[in-house]
Amino acid sequence: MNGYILRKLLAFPAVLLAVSLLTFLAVRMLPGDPARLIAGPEASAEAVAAVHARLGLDQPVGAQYLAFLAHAAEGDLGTSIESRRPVVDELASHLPYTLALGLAAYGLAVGLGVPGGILAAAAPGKPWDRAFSAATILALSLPSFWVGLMAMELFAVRLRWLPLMGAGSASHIVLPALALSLAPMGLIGRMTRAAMIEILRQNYIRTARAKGLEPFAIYVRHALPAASTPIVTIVGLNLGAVIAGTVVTESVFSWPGVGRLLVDAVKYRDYPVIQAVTLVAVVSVVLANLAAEMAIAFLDPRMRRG
Amino acid sequence: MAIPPSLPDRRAVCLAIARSALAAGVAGTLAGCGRGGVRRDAGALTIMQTEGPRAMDPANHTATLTGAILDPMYEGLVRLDAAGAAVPLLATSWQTPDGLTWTFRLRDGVRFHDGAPMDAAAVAQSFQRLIDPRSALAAAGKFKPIIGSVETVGASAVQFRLRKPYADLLTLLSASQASIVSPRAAAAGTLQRVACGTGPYAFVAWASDEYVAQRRSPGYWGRAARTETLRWTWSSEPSVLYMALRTGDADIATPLSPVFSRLAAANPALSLVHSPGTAFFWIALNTRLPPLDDVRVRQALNFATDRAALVAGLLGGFGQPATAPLADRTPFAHPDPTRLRFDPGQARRLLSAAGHGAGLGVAVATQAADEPLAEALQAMWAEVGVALEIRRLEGGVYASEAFAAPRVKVAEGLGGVLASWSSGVAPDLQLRPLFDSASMAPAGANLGFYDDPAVDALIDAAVGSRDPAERRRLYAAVQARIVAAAPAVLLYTRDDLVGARRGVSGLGVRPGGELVVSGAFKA
Amino acid sequence: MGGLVRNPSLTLGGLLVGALVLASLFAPVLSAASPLAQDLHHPFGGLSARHPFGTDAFGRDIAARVLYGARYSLLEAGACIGMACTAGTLLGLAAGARGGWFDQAVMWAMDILFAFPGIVLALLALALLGPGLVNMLLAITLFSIPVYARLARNLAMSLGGALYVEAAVAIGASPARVMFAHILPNAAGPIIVQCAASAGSVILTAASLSFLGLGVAPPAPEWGAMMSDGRNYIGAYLAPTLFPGLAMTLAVLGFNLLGEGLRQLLDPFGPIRTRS
Repeated sequence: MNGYILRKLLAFPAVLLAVSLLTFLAVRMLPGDPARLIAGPEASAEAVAAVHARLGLDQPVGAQYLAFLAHAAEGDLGTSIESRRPVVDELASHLPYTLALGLAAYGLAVGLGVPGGILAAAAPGKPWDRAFSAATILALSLPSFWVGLMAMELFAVRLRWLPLMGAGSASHIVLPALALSLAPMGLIGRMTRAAMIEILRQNYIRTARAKGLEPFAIYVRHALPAASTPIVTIVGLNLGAVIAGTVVTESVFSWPGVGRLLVDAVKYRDYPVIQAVTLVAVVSVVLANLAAEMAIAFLDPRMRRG
Repeated sequence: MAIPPSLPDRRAVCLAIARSALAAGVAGTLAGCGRGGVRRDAGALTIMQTEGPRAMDPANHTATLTGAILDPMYEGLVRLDAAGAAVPLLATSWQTPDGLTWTFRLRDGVRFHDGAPMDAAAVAQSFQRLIDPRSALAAAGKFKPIIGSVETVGASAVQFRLRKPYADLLTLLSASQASIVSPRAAAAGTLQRVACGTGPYAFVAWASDEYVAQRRSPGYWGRAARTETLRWTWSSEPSVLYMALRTGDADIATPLSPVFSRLAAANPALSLVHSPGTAFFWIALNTRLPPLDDVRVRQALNFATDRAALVAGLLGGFGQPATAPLADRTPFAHPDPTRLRFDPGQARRLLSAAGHGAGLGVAVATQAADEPLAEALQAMWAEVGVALEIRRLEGGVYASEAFAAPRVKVAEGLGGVLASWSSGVAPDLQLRPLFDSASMAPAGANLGFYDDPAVDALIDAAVGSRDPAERRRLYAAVQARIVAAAPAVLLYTRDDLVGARRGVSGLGVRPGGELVVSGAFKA
Repeated sequence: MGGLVRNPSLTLGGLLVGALVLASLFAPVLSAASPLAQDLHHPFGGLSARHPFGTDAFGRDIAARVLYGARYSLLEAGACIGMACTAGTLLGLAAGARGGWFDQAVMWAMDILFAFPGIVLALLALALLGPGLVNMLLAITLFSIPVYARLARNLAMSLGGALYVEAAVAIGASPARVMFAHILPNAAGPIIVQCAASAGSVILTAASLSFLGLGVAPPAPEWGAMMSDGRNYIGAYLAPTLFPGLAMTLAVLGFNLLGEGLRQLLDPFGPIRTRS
């Protein structure tokens, strides 16, 4: 398409490799002996040594990393120490839940934050704008796990409108998605408002107003297309925040996603799972940023020329 | 569908279609969005525990909660009745001339869920895989030291040859881990994930992290269970268990935390079954790590512990302070309230005498669930100048640290391990694994490396004797020695707390908290 | 006075943060009860004169614990922001001032760090170092550094960058002096705003980590840890979870408002944008 995007695309595998190496090394430095954990507390020294050999832990680190890459290419990311299942299976069974929660929360955040921000920017200083600013900064300040717990108490325990925790049915996603969406909603709302205000200040908008164009025409035909770039940037940038947020939210609500998998893996020192989930998280963020950049390149004629 | 040409009919047909579509839509919505979305029919019971099963193989776990899930599907040679006496199950009779050789006559006409016959060969194989020296099964350690060999005597009887006389053999054989498993399944290696026994319920499915489903087995040899399907779920969150009971998502929930047990008892829609349990809590002190190698320090820690306050505050009164190394319920328990009393003054005196008047630090490893207990002790021990450092560990890491060898524990400065244990009503099953020198970690659960040959001898003598009076005398002596040596801070026994919706009957709880639901039903 | 009204964010933010500092300093005076004293015979006490926020599962006074918890939040914000800002700014300024391969290398490293969602990096670091307060502070500092590095570097570039430094060196100034005496004062504004703005998220992340059981050790009265305890009793008792959360919301809100207000004051048009 153009040089900028091409360079970014080519950089992606490099970033991926760098991240995987970093994660790999970090995980190797974790305290404790994974062979001993796998073999169990009552294993003899020979049994532990056998596990060592089987996992290839006695090889030099470089060889281990290459072996890891080779296995990963075949789709084998190792076996979970705690559950004894292949890591790929664990990921496969947990990832859909995180995706569902993330998308739901993200949808809420964008669906409410972007229009709210645009409306606020349309009438700066007026009541809606003031209320919106206050609401968004409050949303940013609320600890998501506390909101989750309070929502549980109100909606699940007292009112019994919604289930408490877990992922049994469609209604189980409501509370976690709400709790998770608050902070990104605030952030996206504020950033959208700021971007819109910036655009509305531009000369060509003032010209359009002076020419007597209807507000609707101004927004839809002039302001929004220009705002699409920063809004896509904002939306793309915040995906990382949503992913980060799922880690805590899933623990609060016992939502069986990869965030909870990661937290448990850290507590159990389940190295293969820590490695795999970290990789997945990083890959998602990088992919999201890449997608955002490509969307921007597509939307913004200035970028197209590279 | 052809619509008739005349107007009124067409309208009627359209209305009919619309009405049925609406009804279908409403029904579908209601079905999908029912509270929790779980269909509950009368022939099903949902049981919620705090932990999922470790395995479907009874020999490959040591967890009470897993035992509860496996109980409807598996049976052993004997089971214990309410009084703790052994009654026939898969064995119809037994005899032993000398306490060393035991012959069991097996029940005829029993088949495993996969159709294989339950015969002497199957029973022998079941135990063979437990006592095989190369066996890596989790429960093997319980049986290997006691059972020397198991042989078939014809097709309907087996003979156990024990390594030494063992009076509590029947109690041992009634444990979940001694269940008889299908030889076909064992050979195929599928037992870990697919259960296959002889019990009133057969395995249907185990969705990891989610549920275990069981269905009444039509070919069961005994009295049929009253409920068609059992569904087991779990959540580590205490609030979830209680809420599930309230909403009806669970018919039975255990173990209920003390806070919610009080609420359940007060809730007219729920009932609370609580019985004195044998879930025993203690801190194993590392007798190899200075200053804990000084008996006065260890005794001081015991005096610094206000057990009554722990039971009041942490258990909500649903428990008993420890007065002996054995739980109250266990036969031959020998209470010693003088030595195991709360006396901070005495604690301080002992610490000064041992040269630690200025205070000392003890690091204790604990699992997340027991952390409140550690936190309460932290404040108590601070009163006498002992700083308790809490090392919170999970799952495999906890097991690894708890069962580490002396060298490792000393190197890491681990002074104690907070642990709990429910071993039913056999005194030997409590004392031997915890206090016998042969059970020193990593081989067994003597996590503090307590080593007293006199105690070893007394334990062996007590389990070898068949005279109750002599056993009482011997066990009293063992417990007195253990309390004097204070290799552990004995804490309390927690009651078994089971919450259920009113209308659920036929529930049982084994000593130790293992739930028995095979006879349960909803009225 | 007019300035205060014209900048309500700054005022309100300042008040809240000020309250946080006061609570930290004067906790022993403000609360007669000890945050650590247990009373196992009276857990979950209701609100009363003696216990304005009730008592927790161990009979400890919640109000006292909330007040003393302010110290932890202040420590977390101060230490992490202080360390990250210093390290990141130095790194970024140096990169901007030197340019060339050094700049590329630093920015590439920062990009790698940016690719990790903050809490994931913190979890990884904690898995490595083990749980605990100090380790948690280090972990959070680590993932906070890239923001400052990138900000400082962009500011340095936009304020003249490598060419400016070269020219100054040509007339005899040392690169370090140029950095500190010329670039830094102009870059200070946006950097300070960034500090205030991220203080809130540092407190939230630290609380999240403690909530997950990987942060402070018991019996520390840290707000996240308190909510982690209280969470076991949702459905029975609300106070142990409610009050620490309220306090935390106010503290984070204070820092966020402060950041807003400072931005209006020091950096109204946003950091000078450059193509990175």
